[in-house]
Amino acid sequence: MLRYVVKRLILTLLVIVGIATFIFIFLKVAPGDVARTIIAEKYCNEAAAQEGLVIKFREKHGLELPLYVQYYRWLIALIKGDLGYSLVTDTPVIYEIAARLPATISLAVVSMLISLFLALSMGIILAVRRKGLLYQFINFFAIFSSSVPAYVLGLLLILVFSVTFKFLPFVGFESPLHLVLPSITLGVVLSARPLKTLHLSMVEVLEQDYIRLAKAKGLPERLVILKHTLRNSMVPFLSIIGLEAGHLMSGVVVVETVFSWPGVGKLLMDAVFNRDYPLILGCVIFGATSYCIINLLTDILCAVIDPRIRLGFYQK
Amino acid sequence: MKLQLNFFFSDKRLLVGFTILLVIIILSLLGSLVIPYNPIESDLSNALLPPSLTHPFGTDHMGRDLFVRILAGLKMSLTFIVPSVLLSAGIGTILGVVAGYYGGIIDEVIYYFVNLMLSLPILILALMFVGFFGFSVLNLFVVLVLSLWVLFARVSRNVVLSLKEEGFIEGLKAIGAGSFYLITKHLIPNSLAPIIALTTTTMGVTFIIVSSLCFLGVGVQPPTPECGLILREGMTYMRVAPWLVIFPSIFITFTVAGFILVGDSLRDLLDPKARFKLRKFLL
Repeated sequence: MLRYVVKRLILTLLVIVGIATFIFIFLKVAPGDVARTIIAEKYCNEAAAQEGLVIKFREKHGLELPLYVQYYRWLIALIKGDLGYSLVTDTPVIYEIAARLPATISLAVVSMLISLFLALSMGIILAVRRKGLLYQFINFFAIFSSSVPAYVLGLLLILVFSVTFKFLPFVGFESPLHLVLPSITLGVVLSARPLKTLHLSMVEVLEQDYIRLAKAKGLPERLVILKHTLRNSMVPFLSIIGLEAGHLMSGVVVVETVFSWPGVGKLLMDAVFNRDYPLILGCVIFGATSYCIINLLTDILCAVIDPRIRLGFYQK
Repeated sequence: MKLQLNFFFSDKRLLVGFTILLVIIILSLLGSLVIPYNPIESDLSNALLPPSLTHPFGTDHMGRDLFVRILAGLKMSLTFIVPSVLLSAGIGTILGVVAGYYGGIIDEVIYYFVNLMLSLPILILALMFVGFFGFSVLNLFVVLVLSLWVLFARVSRNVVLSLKEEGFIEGLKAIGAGSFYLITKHLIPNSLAPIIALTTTTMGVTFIIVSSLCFLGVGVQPPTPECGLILREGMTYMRVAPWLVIFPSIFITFTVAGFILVGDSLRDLLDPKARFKLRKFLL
């Protein structure tokens, strides 16, 4: 087990370093002079006055040094958590992100819980009941949730619950009520793929001999489903939840913008519009790192549930 | 012919999805020819009219016919999404097959890049590009291809790995088949079925991503019509003109649903064993 965790941990670190490298290369090949743009946006627009500032800026940030020194400094700064200063507010990027974290985490956690609940309950019903009104309804829901973009669902919910019936607020961050619409939106959108995966893998497990045995020896159906079938269908379900972390990031950006939710996603959108380069990079690195960590956690969880994975049964 | 029709009717999802896509493609191609309104020119005297016989979906804040704008927006998105997904499918399939076939260090390197791109969600990557370079259709195209190929590489690599276990590749090698022959004549054709299904589904997903970017205001710029952008503009007038939100929403959801229904049913129809392989695909 420890060996598996260490292996995954090293791979995750490699991927994070890779992302940092990718972004470094991206910055270097970006057309135009980032230093000049930053100076122009921040201090003054007069070309003559800019020259001195640009040179000073370059010296301060070591932009004149050879590339490998710059790369080394970039990595070291990242490890220290030093992502530079926001151009607009002049506070360290890491503080900006930290200030927005509670909002984003509460949104992410509540919507993950909603999506888990939806996917688990509906996936089980889809696999067990194969006809009837409830089956048809859930089938429809599965198609709907996988085809509706987060912003469309968010706007429709606002239209119904806030504009027409006026019983739920949709903009702001003051009370738990404000969390209802954003987290439902994100939860429904995120439930699509886990729901499909759980359905398929449960149908597969239900056809296995050991399920027939469990039924034959007279185990109540509830136990057959919950203990034998669900447990054995958990691995694909968990791995898809890990992969869904990417959708969670994008979903957070969209939903936070629709609902003016003051989280990291909104911060990224504002940074893009303000051309606040260090802040954009900080948010991107933050997003990618959290994706890697979520994936690492779900992989370890899979290995805990299924010994075949940690023993390398599936790898040749 | 009979066989093909059977194939077509054997899955309700395929029939429904295909019908949706057909209707949307025909509408978006012919709509602008038949309906006498311009999707871009504004006419403020007709602003925010509710749906009526002359304007079936009403008009927006600039007095433009919403129906025409939605159709033009769909056309705009589709002409952009289809080529980018096809290109990434081509690149991804080839790289995935190569990785699975050769194994070893080539596989490790390609798979490392797959993992790397997977951890940068497309929307975030696109925002980074737009933030630095400003919006252009070319930038968006680059971002899409850069992040979509990994989906195809992952699937085709896994197909090749399971084909290798079946032994016929070994057999062909034993009678002297070369790598190029094996890859082009056996491995790529054999991985086409899941790739075709995935291509269709990915078009739906890409539609969501592109329209989300436009909705966020960093995609296509006004006055060019695009579904996400129409919603962004309509959002402001939601209280007085709810049709500006309702109709684009319906069209976006149906288009994506069309792609996803066709993709899902193709996945099952082209490969009846798909669901048994699911476990392998995910690991």
